[in-house]
Amino acid sequence: MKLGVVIGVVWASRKVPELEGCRLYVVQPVSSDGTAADTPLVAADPQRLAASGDRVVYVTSTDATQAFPGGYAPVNASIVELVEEVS
Amino acid sequence: MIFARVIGTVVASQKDPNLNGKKLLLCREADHGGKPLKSYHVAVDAVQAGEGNFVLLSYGSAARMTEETKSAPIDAVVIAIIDRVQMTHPAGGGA
Amino acid sequence: MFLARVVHAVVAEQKHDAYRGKIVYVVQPVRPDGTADGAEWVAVDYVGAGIGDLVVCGGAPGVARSVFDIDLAPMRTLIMAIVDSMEFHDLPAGPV
Repeated sequence: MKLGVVIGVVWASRKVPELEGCRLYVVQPVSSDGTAADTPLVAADPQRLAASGDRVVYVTSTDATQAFPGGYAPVNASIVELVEEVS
Repeated sequence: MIFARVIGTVVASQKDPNLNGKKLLLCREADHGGKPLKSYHVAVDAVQAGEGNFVLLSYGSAARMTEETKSAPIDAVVIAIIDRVQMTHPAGGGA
Repeated sequence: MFLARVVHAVVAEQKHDAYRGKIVYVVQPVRPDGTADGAEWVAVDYVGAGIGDLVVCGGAPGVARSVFDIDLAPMRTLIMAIVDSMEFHDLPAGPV
């Protein structure tokens, strides 16, 4: 998993059924000090945890599918925590 | 997932039987603003996308997790047609 | 798996159900000599690590499900060991 900041929203009216009702965000990977750590990516938010500007924890690769009911969705990244503080 | 522009279709008569009836889209990776990037991908269509569409593409083992692709030996699928990407903060961190 | 130093704790109230009750840290991958090596990761702890500890992180897909005995575990990185000591002979940089 990695830290990121939600920097954009992807609006798509036509998408696969597995992603119905699921927000898609553009996420900027960041270090714990807030500096950019990589290029932005798109992450799903199946549990509706985040909003624009929020700092989040996201998970990538096969494990990202596990954030969805049944562990089944065609995604490469999912948001799993809304970060309040990194201490 | 990555942003991509559909730039064409790929037709193949000799192929894995599990690909029968599936549309193969030739896509070029793009940034969030639609600017073309270097890589090209052939992806199965799961949302009736067509040339010119700005789409979201999923890759790797996750690409098989749609009704359209679950038994196919594929590693890329178009999962959404994008209407708009609304950037709310500049890229590059700073939060 | 990779060596890392635990550098921060992540505080979150709203989280995926699988993360409830779990302790989540920011870890900095390090070389054997302790110097930083690449970007930070976020990892779930289940061995009782704390900030400052040198740890072994990793996990294959599905490992988190068996470790925590839950059906769905959207977790890639686990802290799976706390390093007591290491013995190593690093190689010089460049092609061997």
